[in-house]
Amino acid sequence: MTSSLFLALRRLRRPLLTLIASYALCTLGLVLIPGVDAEGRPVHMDFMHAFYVISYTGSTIGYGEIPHAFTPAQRLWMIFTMYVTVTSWLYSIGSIITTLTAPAFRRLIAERRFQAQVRGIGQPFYLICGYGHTGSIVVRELRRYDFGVVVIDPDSDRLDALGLLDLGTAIPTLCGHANKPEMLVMAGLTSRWCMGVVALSSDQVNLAVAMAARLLNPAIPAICRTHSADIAANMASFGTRHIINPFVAFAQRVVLTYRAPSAHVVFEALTSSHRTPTAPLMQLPRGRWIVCGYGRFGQAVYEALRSQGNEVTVIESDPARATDLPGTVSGGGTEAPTLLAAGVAQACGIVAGTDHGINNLSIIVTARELQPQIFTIAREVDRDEELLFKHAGLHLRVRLAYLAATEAVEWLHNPLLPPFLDQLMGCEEGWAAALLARMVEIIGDVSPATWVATLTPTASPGISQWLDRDSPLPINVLLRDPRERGTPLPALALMVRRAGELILLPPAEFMLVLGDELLFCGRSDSQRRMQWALNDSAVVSYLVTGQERSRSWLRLGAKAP
Amino acid sequence: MNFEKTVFAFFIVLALTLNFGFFYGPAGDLSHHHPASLFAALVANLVAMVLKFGDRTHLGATMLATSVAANLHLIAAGVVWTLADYLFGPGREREVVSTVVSLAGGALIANVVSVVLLVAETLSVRR
Repeated sequence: MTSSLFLALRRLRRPLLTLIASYALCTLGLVLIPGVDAEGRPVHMDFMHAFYVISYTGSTIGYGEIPHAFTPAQRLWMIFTMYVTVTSWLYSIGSIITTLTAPAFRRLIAERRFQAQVRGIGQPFYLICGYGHTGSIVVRELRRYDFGVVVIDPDSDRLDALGLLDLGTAIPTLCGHANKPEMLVMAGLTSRWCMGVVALSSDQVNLAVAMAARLLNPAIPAICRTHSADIAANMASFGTRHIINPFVAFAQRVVLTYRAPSAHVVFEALTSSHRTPTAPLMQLPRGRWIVCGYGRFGQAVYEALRSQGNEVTVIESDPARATDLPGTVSGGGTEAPTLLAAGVAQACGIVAGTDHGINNLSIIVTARELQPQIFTIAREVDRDEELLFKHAGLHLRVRLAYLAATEAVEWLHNPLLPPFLDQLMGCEEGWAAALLARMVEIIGDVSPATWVATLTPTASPGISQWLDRDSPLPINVLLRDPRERGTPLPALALMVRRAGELILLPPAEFMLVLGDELLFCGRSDSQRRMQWALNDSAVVSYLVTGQERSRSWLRLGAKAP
Repeated sequence: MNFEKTVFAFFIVLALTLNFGFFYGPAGDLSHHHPASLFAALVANLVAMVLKFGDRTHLGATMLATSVAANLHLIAAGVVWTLADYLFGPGREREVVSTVVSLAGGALIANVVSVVLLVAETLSVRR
């Protein structure tokens, strides 16, 4: 704040000097020029009264001529005074206003205020670089889990829109470029409360953010989105822990849907945002496919479909792109002749994957007219097109921003989930179908929350005390409702990580050991109930034995187990 | 020859000299201390203070601080002299003038420090 004060004072020197000079001159004149009192004797005003008269003249208040009516000489001087002092004031006030509204000054003030806000956060927060479509979803989801959030974005309009949302607390925002390390430090990258960085701007900026995070605060996870395989490799080379490539992620899901459709449903359920209804089982048809648009998205989808044995025809308007593929039709794909040339009449599915959302919709509508049974997949590009895509009756909407955002949030919120999801990617359909059936039976039809229980003395003191005494503790004890041990919680144990080894879907009698990390999924209130058991060994004893161990020194009746 | 530096030094020294001019003379005697002299000292000190604005070095900040101190003293002297009848009662001219001159004396010390700092700054720049 002091540097902006100094800057302001520097600019105000000339106006202040003008004011001092004009006031001093006019006061002096009024003191030197004699007035006359009631009897006509000459009398001089003293300095204070002269200053008083000049003050109310300069500020255009104008009380009157004191102590006696002025002589013509005095009045002449007063005319001069009026013009000089009032003009000085106008000049000074103009300068003050110009100084305070200068963009550089206001930016300085905004940055100082932002730094103060960041220093005052006092709770764990995540730093989000880039507030576009993906960024806005990430911020919303992180606020749902009640984490603190700090946002950097170069576009002040987007940040204004963020300011208008009601997300529970005021979110500190900085208008600046995230690839500048000073901006990141100002935003709290090196603060002890910063728990992670999410880079969601353009690829080059994300790379710079990843590097800055690696060097300035290597302990926290840096999650970076990139659309390019080269930059992903670059980021991985210096140890960025989680890189999200939405094109590759979508292609992997397409493959998963073919290989194990139940696994795909489970995947979606575990990674989608809060309270989304579980997606129905989706079967992608096998046969002839048409892919419109052979950019990076189109290429990824092409590879995925080909790997599952489909025959794929590509429609691409840019002749330089799809040169090495046989049977490529040149054109936009939005007109019927191009689609017919690509064989839409015999195709079982079409993917509209250009980088223009309205064109994608146009392709789909035209294709449906030519072949009403075709399986339609279209890529949504802009946030504003969401409404149109919802009403277009598509079989599968590709929302890359939503994909990237939910992946980022799940990683931040629950670091044990990505290893499980990796296992899910490689699993068999039978196993996945059984898991899905259990999830629907136990949890119901909404997407479950996931959480981790770490069995260490600091995180779960109750369980740790119990385990310290070498009493056996099977995992199904945690899945009982602490209010009534006969009722199971609507939750499911997905995975246990013990000394780096992953154990999927542990059975009910699985014995817990100190230091285990347990991944659960279930309804969100189950997490809170389980927390009772984790924190309080008396609740654990109730769940195991049916009797609550007495906590006080008075042990009336019941013996300690 | 740097015009800006000349003006800067001029006003600082002028503030000191006018202040001393008001201060000099026996303390209780009004004939040695004219109000116009106090007025001139105050104006010169205000100008010197404004010229010191905006300097972020340690030396500059200290000079600004001494200027602010001097101005406070001189403004206090002016206020006391104006409100003399209320503060002291009528006819106590010697006490009034003594008080005013003492306050101006305080301002003088601050101005001396300011000029010393100016000299130090000038000497350290060997050009």
